[in-house]
Amino acid sequence: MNDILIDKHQNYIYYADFADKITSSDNTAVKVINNIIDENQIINQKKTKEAFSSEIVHPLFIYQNSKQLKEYLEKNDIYKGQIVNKLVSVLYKDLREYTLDSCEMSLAERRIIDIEQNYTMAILGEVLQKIYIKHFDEPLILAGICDCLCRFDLSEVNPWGPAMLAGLLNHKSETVQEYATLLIENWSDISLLPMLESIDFSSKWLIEYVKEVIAYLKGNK
Amino acid sequence: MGLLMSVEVSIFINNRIEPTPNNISNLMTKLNALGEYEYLPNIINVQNIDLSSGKVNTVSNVAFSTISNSSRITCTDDRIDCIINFDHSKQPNLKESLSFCQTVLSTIVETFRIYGNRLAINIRQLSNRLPENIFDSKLGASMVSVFKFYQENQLSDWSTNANSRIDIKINDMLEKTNVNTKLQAGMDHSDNSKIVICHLDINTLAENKGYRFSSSDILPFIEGTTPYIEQILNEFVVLDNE
Repeated sequence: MNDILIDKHQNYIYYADFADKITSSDNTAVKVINNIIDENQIINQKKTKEAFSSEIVHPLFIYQNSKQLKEYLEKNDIYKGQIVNKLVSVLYKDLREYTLDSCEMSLAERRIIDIEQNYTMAILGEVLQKIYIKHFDEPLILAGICDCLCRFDLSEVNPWGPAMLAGLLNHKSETVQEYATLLIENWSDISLLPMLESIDFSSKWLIEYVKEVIAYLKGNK
Repeated sequence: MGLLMSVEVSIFINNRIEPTPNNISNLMTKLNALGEYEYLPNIINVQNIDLSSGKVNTVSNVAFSTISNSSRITCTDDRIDCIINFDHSKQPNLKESLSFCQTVLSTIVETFRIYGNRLAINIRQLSNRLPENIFDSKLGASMVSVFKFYQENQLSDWSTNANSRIDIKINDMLEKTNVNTKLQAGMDHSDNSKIVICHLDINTLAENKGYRFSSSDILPFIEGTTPYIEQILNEFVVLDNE
């Protein structure tokens, strides 16, 4: 949940949590997000000034300017989409360098940390989900995503993390299934148990590994 | 030849499908068991303005997409949509596509025992390329304004919209339904030629707010409206070829 705040100096309205964290590739703030609604666009000037006295916008203000706010949110979505698309191509490039069983921190992992720290976890979620759907036929990319996600707690990547996990566990590649199971083991959350139990794994070694993880999750209950 | 672009079937609801691991896994298994597409679960975030608290809420919703985006299912708090996009690598089959969308929606509403208050079908079809002078084609000429001004000046944009309310039977109940067809000028970006997009929107009336549609009502809705869909799209194709 994010507040809509009024910038008293510039008379601009902005979506604080988002605007604070969105930056361009050279880490400068994306100013356009703060400038979408200016004073001239707001219908009721008197109520606008009243609204400036409070950090959280008065419901009446939102009601009277709901059209502008909706437009603002739509434009926000467009800018966010552009940033996400840019990050998708950068992260995908790094994920292509990913190798299995490497001891060193991968480029992709560094990039994912960078996105989480400089943007938001929600943005990271959108980026990863786009890559996972578009490149679902590339097992190494998906294994790389699983590996990188091991860095985060389940609560941080909820609900998009488990959503991706459901798709990854159903993948044809045993490597992806193994890395997805590894992710479940890492998250150690009993709520993920039905996901693991609903999949029919084919190879013996993977079945054994999944059994171990199921027993581990049940033991943690 | 004109092309079928997309088919979408929707049910308007007032229920939230929480994006829990159990719900996602359960739905994914059922949807992929239908056999037509391989759906990948994902989460889409929607922002709503909450008038009472003066805050923007971000709500996470369950969605399913295929790798190529040839089909997409979205489950938000007020509607569930199943859309099929055609890439024209094979001949699209309208009836089969509607039937598949119906099966998807029925599966979801049955799983969560959801009732809807409106049902809707949206279909988009493209025309052939229009001649440079749109008066040279019957479809183009039929859409041009009666105003002389527009007949004498080159049109940069034009559209027509028609709506009729008809009665269809859904499980022995008469249901008033909008049959709305919009023809709109468009452009084929491959060669900048003019085309017309036919958007057919069939939906039960918004005024009827009762949550009365269960999973068993979606098929009769599609069966009841298919003759009108076929009639309009056939006429569009005939007009398009003249």
